[in-house]
This record gives sequence, structure tokens and C-alpha cells, in this order.
Amino acid sequence: MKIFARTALAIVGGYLGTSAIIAALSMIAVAMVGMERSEAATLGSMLGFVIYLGVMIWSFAEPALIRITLWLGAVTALSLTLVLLLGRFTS
Amino acid sequence: MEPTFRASMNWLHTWSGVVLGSLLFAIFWMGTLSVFDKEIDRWMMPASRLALPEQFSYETMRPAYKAALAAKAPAVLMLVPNERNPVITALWRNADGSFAQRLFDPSTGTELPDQGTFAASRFIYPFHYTLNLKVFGLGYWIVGLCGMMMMVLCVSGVVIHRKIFADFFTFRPERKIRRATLDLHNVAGVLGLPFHVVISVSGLVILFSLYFPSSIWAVYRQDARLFGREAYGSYVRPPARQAADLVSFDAIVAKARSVWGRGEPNYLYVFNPGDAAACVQVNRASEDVVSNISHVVYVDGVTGEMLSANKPEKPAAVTQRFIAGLHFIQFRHWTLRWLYFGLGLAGCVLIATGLLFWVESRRERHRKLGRSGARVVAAVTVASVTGILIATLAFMVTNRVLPLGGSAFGIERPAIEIVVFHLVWLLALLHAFVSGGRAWVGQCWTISVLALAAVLLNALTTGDHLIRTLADRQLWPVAGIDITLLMATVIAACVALRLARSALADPRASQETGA
Repeated sequence: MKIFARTALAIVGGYLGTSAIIAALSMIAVAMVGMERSEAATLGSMLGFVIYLGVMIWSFAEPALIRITLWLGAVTALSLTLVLLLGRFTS
Repeated sequence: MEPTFRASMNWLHTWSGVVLGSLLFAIFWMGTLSVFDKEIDRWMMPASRLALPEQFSYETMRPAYKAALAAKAPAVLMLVPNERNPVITALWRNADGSFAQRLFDPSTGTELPDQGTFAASRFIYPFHYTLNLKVFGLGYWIVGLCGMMMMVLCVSGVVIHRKIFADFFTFRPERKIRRATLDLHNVAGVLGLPFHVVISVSGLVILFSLYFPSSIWAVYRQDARLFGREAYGSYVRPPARQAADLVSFDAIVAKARSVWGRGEPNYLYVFNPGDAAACVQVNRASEDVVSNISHVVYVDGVTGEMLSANKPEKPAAVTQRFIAGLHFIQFRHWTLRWLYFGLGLAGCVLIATGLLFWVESRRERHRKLGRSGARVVAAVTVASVTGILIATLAFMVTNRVLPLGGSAFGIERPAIEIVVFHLVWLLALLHAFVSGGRAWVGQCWTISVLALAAVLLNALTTGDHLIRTLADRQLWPVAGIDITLLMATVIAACVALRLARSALADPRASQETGA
């Protein structure tokens, strides 16, 4: 049962977390570094594969399931806040 | 997880491999075949085994364009004939949404008779990246997950490896079959590692905007459609609802060439055909560059004026296209093409031996414990390795047996070939369940016989036997497929003999497999 939870967390949680992180990274690149927006979006998407890979490997290496959940949740929440704040700030 | 990092990675490698190995094998196998998709097309569509004209006039594409116009297509994509694909291919969507593909002679422009097959470019190639599952784009996501897992397998495989250098030179085929399987898995994995990593990454990066759209949504908000326009300089305009004729295709290509300097187009994509706002997208063929989209220009279809011709210079977009180009292999380089084919096969060997090793190391233990796990995985492994090879060969044999325009039970010819593919694959699975460990021998013989039958049937039904195809430069693609099939015949027969002998030499194994 724990294995299923871990797998779901790695694949689904990892995907959602990665999506949030790259969204925040692209927005930071546009708002603070001044990158062109199509470039920031492309770069963010491509980084997604690397970040997702790292998150998946880590989810299977970290012994405590709760720690993965908390870390992923915290990073996702932080990224989404950044996306919302930057969105309001720039538009 | 497990007590150490390496033990965790070992667990991850084993189980993700067992669960996704079969799917990965299918994706790798179809991808490997897709390296020679155009050549398989020639083999399966005999009417398209044509020679390129000395001087190609782009006006030869006019009948193809007219056919799309008659079908009231909103847009038509016309592929320029080239060395590997010496026909004019026109693709469009009919007014009712159905998809149409027609082939035209490159010298005269006349339409070729319908070949009644999806061949490689419409069956094998899309199978590689969608498994031909179209519902909700499910296939894309399954293949995408497999691509990610292939990277996970590469990383975890490297971590659990102790003597990466020694394994370069370690292959002990004379030892026990389980030891040999693991050696082969390590050799294929270690030598092919750069290829396996690059091919999985580049496959994913092709569809970056599908797999990770959140960065585009975040930056573009409501107008995500602007992304294509800004990243790739794509140009769109609505139809003017006023009839107008298209200028000469030669003039359009000449206009494009005035921007490129040198190079030929690989396709002409006409939007709003027959309309005063017709617009032609022309891409420079990437014969001499890695990137698959090298330089796109847009020409006004009625006036012949340049509409848009931005050279792609944005670093991230250029990088994305380069990585995608590594996967698409549209550049002209026969040595590299064969290398891709060989490394693709090495990937197939890697996946198959990985699955086999799992089965072989558990067979005995599971039998004693009365568990069926190893037996089930063994049967699925046989079906997904030799089974899909047999199904592919059956697909090709059916193509040579069915008459043109044939249909059965109300099923059209292209669909019959595909039904045969799936039925034979299913039969291979049943056979694997029924005959247990002996299934490998039987299925290897089947591959051997079917591959030979395909070569003979090609010679019989088209008259293009090896002596003739080797002598004629334009028939080399057919010769290449025939020779590869003959090699498969020999290799499969050798493997079958070897497996049968080792089963005889080891009575314990044959008893076990007979059980």
C-alpha cells in the first residue's frame, strides 16, 4: 500500500510540483531577468524534464514518505504564490 | 525505502523495469523501425518505387494541390519528393474532418493508385509515439511517462552498477544463460548509455509544450496561442472568402530561396487554398543541419510576395529544435542513420534482456513457492519481445498477400493489415502462456519463417527480387529492407537452434519449461 502511495506521489505529485516550479521560474525569468517571454516559456518547459527526473529519483530514495509530501507541498505552494504575485505585479 | 541509496535505486530499477519494460520495448522497436520509415513505405507501396526526375519543377505539385482544392480542404500539406521519399505526398483534412493522404508521380504529377496501406509513416511511426491510442491523447501521455521512466532507469542503472568499466569487456555467452543475459544487459546498457539518455530526452523535448505547458500558461495567461507566433514566428491569417488562383509553385519556392541563399524546401503548406488570402508556409529541408525545422518562410499565395521570414535566432527555441532534430534524424547521413538503427536495436536488446533476467532469476524460486508471478511475466515478456516482431512481420506479409482494393467483412485494406497485426500479437501472447519456456524457440522459428516469406512474397508480387533491386540505384531502399529481413531470418534461426540445444543439454531446464 505504501508503495502505491509513494509511486503516486512520485508520478502525480512530482508532475504537479514540477509544473508549479517551472511556471514560477519562467515568470521570474520574464519579470526579473528580462528574458523574452517565448524564450522563458520554452526554457521552463525543457527544464521541467530535468526537475521531474530529479523529483522522481528523490521520491524513491527518501525513506520518510511524510518528508516527501511536506517538501513537495511546500515548494508547490511557494511556486504558486510567486506565480500569483508576479502575475498581479506585471499585469 | 531501502536502507541505502543504492538499494533503493536497485529496487526502483527492478520494478519500474518489470512494469514498463514491455511498453518500452514496443516503443523502442517501433522507433527503431521508424529510422527507415520511408524505406518501409517503398517496400509496402510498390507503386511508389519511383525515380526522381533529373530536373524537378515545383509546378508538378499542381495536380496534388487541385485534388485538395476539390475536397474543399481548409489547408493542404504537400511534401516535396526527395531521395528517400520520391513521391509528391499531399495530406489534408476533408470537410467532414476525415484525414486524406494521396501520392503523386514526381515526374508527371499524376496521381498514383491507392496503395491501401498505412505502411510505416501512418502505422509504425505514429505507434512509436502514441501507441495509436487516440482517446483523449492518452497514447502521448503513456509514451511520455515511459520516456521519463527510461531516464529513471538509466540513472538508477548507473547507480547500481559497480564496475562500469569492466563491463565494457565482459560477455560470457558460454556460461549459464542467466549470467549471459545479465552480461548482455550490461554491455548494451553501458555501451549504449549516451544514446539511450539522448534518445529519451530528445523524444520528450519534441513535445515540450504538450508535456509541460504550465510555463507557457504562466507567462502568456489567456493568450497562450501567441506562444507559437512569438517562439517560431508562425504566421496566420483568416480567409478573405474571395476566390483566387495560386501563383506558380516555382515562383513561391524561388521567393523562399531568395531568403535562404541555398537549399530546397521539404514541404509546401498551403493555408486557405483557392482563397484570395492564401498563404504558403515553406520550410527549408534540413538535409545539411540537425534541427528539423531549419528556416520557415511565409509567401503570399496570390501575389507571390514575402509575408514573413524570420530566421530563428532565439537561443532556447533554437536549442529545442536542435534536440528535437537529434530525434527526428531528417539530415542526410546514411552512416549515422544506420548507427541510429543499430543503437535502437541495442536499446531493444537492453530492455529484453532486463526483462529476461528478472524472469530467469525468479523462475526456480517462484516454482518452489507455487507463485505464478514469474510465469505471467515470462509469458508477457515473450509476447512483447518476439511477439511484436512476429506481429510486425505478419503486417508486412499481409501487405504483400492482399490484393489492391481488397476488403473483407466490410473492413478496408489498410484496416485489415492493422487487424492482422493486433490479432497475431494476441496469438503470440496466448502461445506464450500455453507453451511456457519453450515459447522462445517456437516464436524464433516463426520470425525466421515470416521474414523469409516476406522477402519471397515481395519478389513474387512485385518482381523486384534482390538481383534486380541491387542493380538499380532507385530500388536500393527495397533491397535494404529485403537484406535486413534475410539477416533477421538467419539470426532468428540461429537463436532458435541455440535455445533448443541448451534446453536439451540442461534436462532440468527442459523439465521445468515442459511443466
